[in-house]
Amino acid sequence: MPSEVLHKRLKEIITDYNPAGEDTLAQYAIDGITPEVVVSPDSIASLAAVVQLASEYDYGIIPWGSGTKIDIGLPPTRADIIVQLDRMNQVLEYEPADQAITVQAGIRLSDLQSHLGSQGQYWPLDPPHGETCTLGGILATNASGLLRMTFGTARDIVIGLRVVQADGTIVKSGGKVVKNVAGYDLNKMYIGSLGTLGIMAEITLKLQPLPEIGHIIIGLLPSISTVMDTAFKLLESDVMPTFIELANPVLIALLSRQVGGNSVDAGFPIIAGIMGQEETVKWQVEACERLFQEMGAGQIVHMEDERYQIALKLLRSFPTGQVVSSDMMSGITCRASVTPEQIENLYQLAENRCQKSSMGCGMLAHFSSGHMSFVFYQEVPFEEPHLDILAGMINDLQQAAVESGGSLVVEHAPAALKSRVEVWGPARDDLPIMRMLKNKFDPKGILNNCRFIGGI
Amino acid sequence: MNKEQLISALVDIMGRDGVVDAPDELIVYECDGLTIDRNTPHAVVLPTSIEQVSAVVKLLHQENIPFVARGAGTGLSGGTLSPEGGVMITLTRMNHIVEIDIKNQRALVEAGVVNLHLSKAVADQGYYFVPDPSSQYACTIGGNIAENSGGPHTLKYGVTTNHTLGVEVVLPDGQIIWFGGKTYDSPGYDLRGILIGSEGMLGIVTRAWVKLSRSPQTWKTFLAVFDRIEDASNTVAGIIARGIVPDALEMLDKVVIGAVEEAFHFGFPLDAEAVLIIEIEGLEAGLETQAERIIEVCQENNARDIQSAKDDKERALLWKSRKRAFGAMGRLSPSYYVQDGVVPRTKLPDIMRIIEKTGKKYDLLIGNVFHAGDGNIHPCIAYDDRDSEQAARTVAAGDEILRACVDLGGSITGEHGIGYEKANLMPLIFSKQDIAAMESVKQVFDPSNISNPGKMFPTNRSCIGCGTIELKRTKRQAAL
Repeated sequence: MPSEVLHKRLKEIITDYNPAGEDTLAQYAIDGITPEVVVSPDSIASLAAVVQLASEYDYGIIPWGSGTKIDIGLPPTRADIIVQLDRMNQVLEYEPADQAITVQAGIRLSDLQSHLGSQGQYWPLDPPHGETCTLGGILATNASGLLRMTFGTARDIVIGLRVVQADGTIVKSGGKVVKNVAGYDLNKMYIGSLGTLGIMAEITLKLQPLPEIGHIIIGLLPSISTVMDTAFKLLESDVMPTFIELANPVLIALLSRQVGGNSVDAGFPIIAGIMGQEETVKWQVEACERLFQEMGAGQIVHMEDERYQIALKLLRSFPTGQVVSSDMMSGITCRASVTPEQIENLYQLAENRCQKSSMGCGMLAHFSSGHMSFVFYQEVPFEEPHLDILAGMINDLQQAAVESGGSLVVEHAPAALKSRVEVWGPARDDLPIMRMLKNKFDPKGILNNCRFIGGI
Repeated sequence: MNKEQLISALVDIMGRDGVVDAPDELIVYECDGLTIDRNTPHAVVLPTSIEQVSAVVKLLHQENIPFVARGAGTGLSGGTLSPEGGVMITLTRMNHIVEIDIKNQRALVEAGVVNLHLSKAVADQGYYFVPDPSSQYACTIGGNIAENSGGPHTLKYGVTTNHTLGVEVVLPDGQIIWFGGKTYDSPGYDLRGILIGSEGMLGIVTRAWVKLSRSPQTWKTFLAVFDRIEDASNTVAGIIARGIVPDALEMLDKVVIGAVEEAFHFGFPLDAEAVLIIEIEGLEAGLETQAERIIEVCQENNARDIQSAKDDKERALLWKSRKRAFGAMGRLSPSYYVQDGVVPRTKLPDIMRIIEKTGKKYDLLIGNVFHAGDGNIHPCIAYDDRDSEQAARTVAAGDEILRACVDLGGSITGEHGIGYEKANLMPLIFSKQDIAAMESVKQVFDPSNISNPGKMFPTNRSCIGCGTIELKRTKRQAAL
């Protein structure tokens, strides 16, 4: 339909809708594709009406939260309508004593956490971009952080969803109670589906009480292999850290500069976060320090109070924050998933390949889940020849991860790099089922189409 | 293909030893833990390998014969009730723990491995498998995955889906596929997550990678005694509201206390209206403080007495009493019907009142033994299954309690599943569109609707592409 008619129809749905100017539209370009329309529904009903309209006239839709992860995935083939969810940012229902909250998908994680904090609770997920990202974006990409060692990912702590399907109908999965096995667990299907099966509009979360205190202990060890040994020892000890992180020396040197206090010398770091009740934390901190000492740590840094908060924020922002240096803002990041035991191999491979190509590489691994984040950087901007080298390196890392039973996906990268690699990794046996699900739930292919695994 | 041809084709795949078809032997398979509904399968096969499962399913797919997978048959919602003219695939012979990888804290198990056997196999090394349904001494991990089972200790650490990394599945056309695997975050849709809790309707899980957890350094288990159910319910809500998440928080009412005491002689106070079993685990350091806080809440809510288990033996007996409470109920009547509903924790006092009223209204004895900490109730209705009028009242009372759970903002099942039992109650919590979305998933995995048909989706409505299996002469139908 002609664009004036589309604008008119949208205005019927959302009375204060105004067509976006070219400058605004340009801000919503993804991998060089600029949308025709940006629309901000203010309720699940108006969101459903917009999707129904798009479905009727075959417009492609890309849901948008705060845009921090919008470039994840294959470049879009179409981006007719950007559905901006920033106005759907309300808390709908909150009963602290039930430890559950229902919110609209456009709420920012930081706003949610401060709302909950006033009642001594929080939602235990801490992905990168924590200051700006929205719940919808976190769920669409199944982003996770340090806390996953203890609380898992969004798939473990979302208990209910209301989703707008590709034809505009609204469906519910799960519920509002913490334990519920009625019907198929479709929450799992929508979380991490990159907006390709439906738009998550309302989300019910399972909450936790805020820990009394938290400490971070960093042990600097002579080599990556002693770091691995220490991490396994810590896992099997009585200490129950909230998180265990492995990082490469580059990352930790900069972290220590920003946190202040004693400078951290070169060495391979293991980082343990211990949160909870005061007595319990204190006992664990001592046990943890003792263990690091026994394993030959050259230096042990203990952070509490303000330094703990700063360190936590920096660790959480990796690999997208300015953790190492401005060079590190190359925007090229990958995420791998392997068994804890395989972390060392994959890290060594990345480090060796980067050294050969005079590139920098930052790495942070959530140890127990084997989730590794890489960021690649260099002093000069990445251009054609570098992209080829980088693509070769990513392919090799991906192959190594897959051969060991894991996976590697490219998260943030320029379109020119995406076209040189398998963004989602090689096809697996389960792809045909995924394709059929996509066809069933979005037969016209209007929802963030062609961007996810296998081009679904 | 007639029945004889089917049996002979199954014997070709399985060998004579792997097929059960004698009518007297099939009686064992006519129901699971939900004894109120029964139906006999045409045949039962007992595969020992994934290849056998796949070959049988391929045959059934080709002949369009419905099938149902079953583990130990301890399910409580009729999830493994055989479809009419169907074949039952029983996985109890596939009971090998294939690999224990202590270092990476995970294990590869066959579907027929008994839940408790896995925990026992890793106990010496200081590990256990978290989901601990009351039937854990018998139920299989495949069954846990099908139902997304819980248990007392899942309050803090989550249910089966939170402890399963990947599942190997024989799809309804016989293909063998892994969803997820030994590592987390497989790229693409979380098909693993959809399979878990899908009640055997999307395929048959044959193996799984599951998470092993570190056993806690120490524990404290309390028994808090109350003269009023209301006080016990308020204690539960109070503990959660105080920001304490115990490892387990269970309630037993007077009826159950009596039955359990007679069976296990733990020393429960027979005159109490309710007791709470509260367990906290973790580090020695700080556990006492946590215990004091819990005791404080109990006292604020008029607990008459608070005892703590003095050693491992006493703790084990306490948990045995709790986990075998349903069985102990058998002392009170020829049969019992366990319901499974959920309410928000703040609504526990309300639902307890409603259950009491419902018991009076239908003139039935109802005992309560349940996971109070997550609002997951298990009213256990005593009845005589030889009396069809009483059976009808029992089903009606159960339904009424579930409706009340829904009205209070809860759900119709917390861990037992929808199965055959609650298929027609699904519309209480899901709209037509919600159910249609689930049916879409079913159609993708099982277009010919042969994998455990007739479960979960309501049968009293038109349903495109998913025929239903009519069961003969069940007591439930008599009740309707």
